[in-house]
Amino acid sequence: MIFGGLLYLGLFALAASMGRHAQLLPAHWGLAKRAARLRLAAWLLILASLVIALWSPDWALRLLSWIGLVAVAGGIVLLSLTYGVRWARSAALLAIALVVAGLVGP
Amino acid sequence: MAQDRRGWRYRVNIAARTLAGTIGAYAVAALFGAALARTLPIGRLDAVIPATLLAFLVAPAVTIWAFLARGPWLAWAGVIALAALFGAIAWFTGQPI
Amino acid sequence: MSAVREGARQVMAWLHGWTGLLLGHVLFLMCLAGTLSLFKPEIGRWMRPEAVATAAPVDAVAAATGWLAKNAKDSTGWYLTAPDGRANTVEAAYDSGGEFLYRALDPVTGAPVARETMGGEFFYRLHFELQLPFPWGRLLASLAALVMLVALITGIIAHRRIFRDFFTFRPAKGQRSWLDGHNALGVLSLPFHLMITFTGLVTLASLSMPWPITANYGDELMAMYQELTPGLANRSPAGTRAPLAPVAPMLREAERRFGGAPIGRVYVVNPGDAAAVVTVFRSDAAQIGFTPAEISFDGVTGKVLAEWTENRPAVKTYNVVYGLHMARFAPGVLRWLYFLGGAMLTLAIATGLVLWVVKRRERAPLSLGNRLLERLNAGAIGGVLLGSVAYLWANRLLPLELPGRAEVEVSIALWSATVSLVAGAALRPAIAWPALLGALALGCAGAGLLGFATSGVGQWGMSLMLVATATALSLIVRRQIRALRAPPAPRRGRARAAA
Repeated sequence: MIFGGLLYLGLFALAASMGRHAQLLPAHWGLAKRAARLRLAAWLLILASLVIALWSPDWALRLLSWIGLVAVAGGIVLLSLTYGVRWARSAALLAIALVVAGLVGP
Repeated sequence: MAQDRRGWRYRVNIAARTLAGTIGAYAVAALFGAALARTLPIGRLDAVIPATLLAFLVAPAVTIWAFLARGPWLAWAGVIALAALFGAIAWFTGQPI
Repeated sequence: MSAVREGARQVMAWLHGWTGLLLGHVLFLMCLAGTLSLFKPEIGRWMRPEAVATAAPVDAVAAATGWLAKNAKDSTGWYLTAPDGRANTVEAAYDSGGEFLYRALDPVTGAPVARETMGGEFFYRLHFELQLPFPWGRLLASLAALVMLVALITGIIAHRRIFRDFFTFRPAKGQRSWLDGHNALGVLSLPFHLMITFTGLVTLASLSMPWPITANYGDELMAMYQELTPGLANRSPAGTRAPLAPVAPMLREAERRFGGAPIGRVYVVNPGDAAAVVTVFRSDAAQIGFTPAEISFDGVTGKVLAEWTENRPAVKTYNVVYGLHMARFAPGVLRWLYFLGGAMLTLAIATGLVLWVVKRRERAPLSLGNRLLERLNAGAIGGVLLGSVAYLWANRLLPLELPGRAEVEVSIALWSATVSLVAGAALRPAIAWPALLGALALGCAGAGLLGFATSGVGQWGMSLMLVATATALSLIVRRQIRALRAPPAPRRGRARAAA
């Protein structure tokens, strides 16, 4: 749950750091100027999600899941860039909730 | 590869590379697998497994190289050289008992 | 990837195109059937709505051997798969009267279930045997997988900006959109595509790459198999008849020796012969590695002949590679991720085939070969899909008592595919696509409704999937019909030529 959420947030941030997909985040946040830092944060999130996925005796199954989730998360971002960014933003909130739930829960 | 896409030179070029990249690539992969299976210093069954897995990576590598080589002659020379090398290793090592 | 020369990248793009085209339609069929095979037990349950009984794996296999002992005496071997919570029937493959049969056996009575069907086994066999006689189907499938591996690698090298284009999709822009779609489908799931292609190649290695085995074993293939699965005892038939001992105690003993893990496959070789052997495999569903342990019993005395738990690193590696492809281990969510990866690969192949034509049409009028390809694309892609749906219809509509029912179902699937292929090739592509996909949407919706009408709530999942697929397809078909009615847009290629 945690690594899935972090992976989505990482891919979301990676897309938002790209000039052509900047509309993912509200313009008044002014993140366009700090795209390089956003990109670094994105890659760190993706890396963290992979490390967390592998940090388990079930690492093989979780690695396979991580690979599959890249397609799911990337697909959500890609489709919502075409058909309405609110979907990607809602999914980002959901991802945050997932990470929090994973941290708080057992 | 030649720029003119209609001339017979282009066709022969493609045909030669295609043969090198299909039959040639398979032959290299098969002989590589045989040579590795015979030379790995582990049990004869244990050796078959990495040899088979790696042979399946050698085949596409040779295919791609056959089309990247500077000329069709070089592609064929490379395929023949590799096949001869792996074939010789497999031949001289002999079947393990 | 700026290190790669631009010329080399063009060569890779050229090779990617031609390797993709060469066996693209076969690969589409293989990927679709393989993706569906992930849900082989669930498809089997949907196709056998009358078989609702359940039993513990040991009892179910014991019932199956009881029925087979009476009704398949002349067989050289029964190859059974125990139910595991996903499937409720015993999957049996055996020869009888010179024919090789696949039947689902009732877990309580052991007899074939009322609705005689191959179930999901049809898609599973189709995936790597392509309905062709042995060994040609498997050889063609191996060749296709090898070509696919080359297509994947060249595709990666040819693609200039993998990360920059990661999230890019620009719809309704002709060639641009097809390329974006093809790239997204290929790249988002790239590690899966590479893994599934390579592991698929390995599953048929003894046929397609036997040379390492030949190098170390010569002609003694049996010696290799004996070393690979030492717990699988091999005996030639003695020629004297002897009754098979009760199987249930052997299965229980196997379960005990597996440390309580459930049984999976059960092979009964030479049944009814004095040299009968019963081999019990531990379930493949509990770990990635296939064939983790097996025990062979003397079929007449019930004594243990051989026992093996796999711990050799090389063999374990092979079993993991094999198991990764079979995906029997995958729990619910992961199985759906596998399904998504398989579906994306199937669509990547389809979009690639379409892209080949679209790209050339925008440059210049199509050559005869490409015009034929354009029609073949519609016919083959539509045909494979419609054949699959026709198979489900046949399952529900054929009378239960029809002789050779399972084989008739398969024939209907193949004939429907053939008719669609011919129709797709005969019609103008702009009409063939909406016609075939429209028929497919109706087919999926109908199969879903038939499913709702004739099966219990437990099997509604697959019916729902069919209706959802029909809905998605109808949206695509509506767009295609609208485009057909709209005045034809000026071709970019021609506009450029005029300017």
